[in-house]
Amino acid sequence: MEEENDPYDDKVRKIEKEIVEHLIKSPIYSTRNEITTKILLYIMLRKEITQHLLKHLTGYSSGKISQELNNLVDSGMIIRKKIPGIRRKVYTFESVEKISTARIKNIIAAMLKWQDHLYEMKSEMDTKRSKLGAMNGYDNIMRVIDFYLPAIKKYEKFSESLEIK
Amino acid sequence: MNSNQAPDHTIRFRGKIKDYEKTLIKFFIDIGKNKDTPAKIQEILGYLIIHDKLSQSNLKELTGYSSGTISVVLGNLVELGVVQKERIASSNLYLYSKVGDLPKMFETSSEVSIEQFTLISKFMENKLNELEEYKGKKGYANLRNQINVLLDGFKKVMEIAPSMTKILSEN
Repeated sequence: MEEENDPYDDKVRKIEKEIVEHLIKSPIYSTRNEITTKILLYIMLRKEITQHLLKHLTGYSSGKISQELNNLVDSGMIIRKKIPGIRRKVYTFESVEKISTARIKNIIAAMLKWQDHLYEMKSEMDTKRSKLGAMNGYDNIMRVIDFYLPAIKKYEKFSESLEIK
Repeated sequence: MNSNQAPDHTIRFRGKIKDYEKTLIKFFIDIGKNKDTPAKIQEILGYLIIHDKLSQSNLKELTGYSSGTISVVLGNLVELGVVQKERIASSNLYLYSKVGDLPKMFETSSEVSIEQFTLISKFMENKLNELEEYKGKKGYANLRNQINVLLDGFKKVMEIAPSMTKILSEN
């Protein structure tokens, strides 16, 4: 396949790289997966970008980038677009808010998947309180479940409000 | 072991309670997958949520991660504002705990995020000024436009965080 060169001037690219590196190290992003974050930031800073150019800018392997891009598309944070006339695809995004809300909705969806399991755990712990209640850690586990179960309900409500917007 | 440090027997849960603890850690890791947070960070934060206060050596025993990994992760969590550390009296060691109770931890995290987004925005505004020096160069117009898109987007995201915290604090 034909090699794709970055059309950016070196000095402009340097500023772009400094932004990416600074954001990755900031507390907001430092607890996230570095590879995913770097790819997402380049997509946001270029608006549209090919997999080839991402490889050139990040230095990650094609396989790794492909896997990360698929995950980001599946999670609804970015969009894959075909360019008419050529075989390459570009990756783009709708808005920063869309990326953020997609992320929040995915977290809430994951919490909802666990809801029944946490209810079962709570019910079992309640039933066996006479046997387990005095054991080290019983109260710790119960306290966490008692926070998350109502919180999941509240997050679900919040997720619905994001849908309406 | 220092008297302020959690004794080993209190951090080690047994039998069915240990199983519940493992399930909760799986829950935290699974949530982390959906917010691009590596498993090791979610696991360490999960143990702190369950146990309240732990030292680095407690966390090493619970997770099996190296001291270096635990130290870096705790540093990131402290910087993010969800975990705090206190020195164990008469030692150079620290005990780590989540900030406040669980709703308070979410609230602090949201406040810190707003603070961090403000700092990031200031950094990007400076880069925008720096970019002006290269006006007309290839990529200038697109990067300038996208920095502004991101700055605008960050402002809108900062408006979402408090509404999430508010919903959590509502009865």
